[in-house]
Amino acid sequence: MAFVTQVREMNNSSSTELVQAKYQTGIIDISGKYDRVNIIRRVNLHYDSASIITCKAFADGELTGTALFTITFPANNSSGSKIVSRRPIAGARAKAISILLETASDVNTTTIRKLEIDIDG
Amino acid sequence: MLLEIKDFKGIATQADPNDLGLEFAFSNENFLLDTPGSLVKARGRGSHTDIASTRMSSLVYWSPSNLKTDGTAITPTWIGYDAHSDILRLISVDFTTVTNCITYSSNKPGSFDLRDHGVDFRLAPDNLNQKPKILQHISRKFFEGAVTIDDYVFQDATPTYPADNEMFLDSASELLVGANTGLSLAANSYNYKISPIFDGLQELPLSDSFLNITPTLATKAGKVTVSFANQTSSGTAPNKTYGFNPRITSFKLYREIASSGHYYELLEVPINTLNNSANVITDGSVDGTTALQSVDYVYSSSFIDSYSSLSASDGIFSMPDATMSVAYNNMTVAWYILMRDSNGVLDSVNSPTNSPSVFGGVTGTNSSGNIWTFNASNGPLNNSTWLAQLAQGILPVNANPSESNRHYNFNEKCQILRVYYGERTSDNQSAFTGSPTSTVDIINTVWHNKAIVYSMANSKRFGPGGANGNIAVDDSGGQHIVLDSVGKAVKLESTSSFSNGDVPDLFKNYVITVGSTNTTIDIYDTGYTNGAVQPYADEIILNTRYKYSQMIGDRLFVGNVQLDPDGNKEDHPDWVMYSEPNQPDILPSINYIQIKDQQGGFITGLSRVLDNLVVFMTRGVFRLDVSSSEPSLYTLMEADKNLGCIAPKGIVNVKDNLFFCARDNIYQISPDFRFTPISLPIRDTYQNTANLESSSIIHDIKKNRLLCKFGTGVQVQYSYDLENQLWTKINFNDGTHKAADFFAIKDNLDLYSVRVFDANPSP
Repeated sequence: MAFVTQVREMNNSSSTELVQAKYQTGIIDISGKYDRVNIIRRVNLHYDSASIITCKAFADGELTGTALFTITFPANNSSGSKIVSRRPIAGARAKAISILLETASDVNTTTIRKLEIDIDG
Repeated sequence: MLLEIKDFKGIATQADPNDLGLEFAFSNENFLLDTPGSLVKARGRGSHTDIASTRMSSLVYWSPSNLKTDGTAITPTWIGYDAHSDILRLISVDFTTVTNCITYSSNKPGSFDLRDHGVDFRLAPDNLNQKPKILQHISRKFFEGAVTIDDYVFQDATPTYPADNEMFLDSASELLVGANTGLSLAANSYNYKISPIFDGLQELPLSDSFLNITPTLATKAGKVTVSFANQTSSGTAPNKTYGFNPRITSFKLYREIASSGHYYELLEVPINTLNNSANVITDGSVDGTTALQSVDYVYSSSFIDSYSSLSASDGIFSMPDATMSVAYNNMTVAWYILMRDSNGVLDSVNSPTNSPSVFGGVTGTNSSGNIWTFNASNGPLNNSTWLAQLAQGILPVNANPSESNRHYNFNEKCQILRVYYGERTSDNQSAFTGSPTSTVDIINTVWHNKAIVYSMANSKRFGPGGANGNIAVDDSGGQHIVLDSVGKAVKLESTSSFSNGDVPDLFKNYVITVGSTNTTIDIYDTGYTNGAVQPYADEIILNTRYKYSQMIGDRLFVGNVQLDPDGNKEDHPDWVMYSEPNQPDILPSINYIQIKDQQGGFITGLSRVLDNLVVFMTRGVFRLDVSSSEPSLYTLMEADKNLGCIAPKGIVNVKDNLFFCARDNIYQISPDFRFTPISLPIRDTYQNTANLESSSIIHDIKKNRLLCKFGTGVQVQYSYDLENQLWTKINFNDGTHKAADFFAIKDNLDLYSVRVFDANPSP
């Protein structure tokens, strides 16, 4: 055994530590009433990222498990639009959803400025 | 329908996810919220530095606020406790060098309360069988610059009496100064004690040992000698062994008269002095001052103060033509300092046979008739050496009268005499002439066989009697009490041990003599008036031990204490005690405040809000108003029943707001002493954490957030954004980089995560 005390500077500009960041909303009612489902038409993201951002939607009260759909937003720090709109797979219907935004586990920077969910109805 | 999330929020786990709406997040890991409206991914940590063979459980950065003796900044240090190895350690700023302060082999502390006091750093163990410690960087010169200490010094916080081989009251004796000198003690019994002063202000009760003198006639002064071991050092800082404790900065001399039962301070003798100490009037080896026997030199303050008029071309030292009423031969001009006899009568102008001549023998030329002229190049005004001496107030005697005729004067108003004399042609008799003889009054005149004159700078002159009782030291180190003084001249009992050109010293109150093994300080009691009475009753106990401390104003407040640990020890986990003013390590046993919490419990920490002491107990939080300088006026109030602090390392002060870990929540105490639970959104997470009493909080000043480590688990770091009152989770998910056991901050506000782990686990 060789115990050591390891010290690392936090928030280091030349860090090599792999960091994955996650943001997940609560469960958002998109039906108005729970007696019908609505279609998620688009997910729009205003962001600036050197890596992809994965957007997952969990339907009808689920917060984990199998996602209703998964959208990948491309890296856009060097080129590409800062506001990206993506259509989920066909049949993305739910009464309520929770959106999870995940960055890659890497050393790259990511800033997310705005998330929009376009619901049919 | 368009759902917009443009103001990203913190997490709320203590809520139904259905009800979070867009106001809170179900999860927020590693996103910063310090940029309003945006989620910013946190940057990772830098490359690791391993502190080998250590298992640190705390680290605090200390940058002492004093300077080294050369005026440069002191190298800061990390201070921390290795609770696994039971070692207090100093760690270099770059974490590469570890120095152990102390290793505990029994009664091992579990943790330390680490307190930065600017020039001191105090460390209180949570085990009251161990003493509170102090770390200082002592940057001092001792004994008028003879010794320099420039090191970190680690020792018990409460000072102790130096051992006899460090410092002791060496001797007390009587010294004849004569009656009616104003420098003798009345016939009586005098007891003397000394008291070491630590860190400039801290003083212990007087020790039992004393020395006595009993003069039977009012003709003697007292002489007290204090001896120090020469200041040496060996070993490695901060645990060097010193000749005497370098925390001692001075000592006080106390005197008791006629066994009155009260010792009064006579003077404080600083020992951490430079060579420009106020005690040194002149030091010949430093400033080049030499001793001059006054019988060979005349001193007058007027020589200095009236130099311009005296040295003017038509002044007293000029040589105007002399017109005689009768014929003379060998007309000569000379200058005398006319002295007074014992009745105060000045010596004769026409026959100055009792006074010294200070320039003379300039013979004139009979230019025409009875008119005599004198060659200016032979006069004093053309003698630059002589004029320089005049400007210094000291004129060498050109010719002294016979010893039996001398009228010695000390601090008298005398006269400069310019006198012409020659042989009358009519009878060849030597005679002084009446004209153009001239005189000028001078003051503070000294020409005396028991006086010496210091060739020191004019700026160091003292007024009449100004150096009385001072100590003149001759070339051989002999000490002489100054009986009278004026300007640059001092009158002594004897000047036989002084020779012209010697290198003497003159000290105000005491004489320091550095020997081969010891340094002695001689103090002369020439009738000091009583100063302040001794500060403490003899039986008072000062060595209080404590677990927590907080400085407020000029007092150190300590909590959870043990009294009289070396005698009838008493543990008082619910007492607050306070130090004497400006003496943070002097904690008399009578300076206590009992915190009577009806729910019971013990003190778990101290802090402050504005000028109020905040006492954290396990089942209560109290505010003590200590704004009065009078402790009896301190007032105590309990904030909230059943609301206590369970984690000593979870108390943090941010701009006069306090945060602490209670059993149910983390609370904020605002300056108006209102309590707000800030962890409500994650209360379930908080309350479900094991070992909450081990929680710690640190203020990340750059990002204005609290970094919280709940309990002792691995991934239980949370961040509370103080700008937006939002929680996020910090998840160290790169397995190669290790999570954090705790956080530490440097004075440049850089923040560090600290993790202890086995770098080479056994298979």
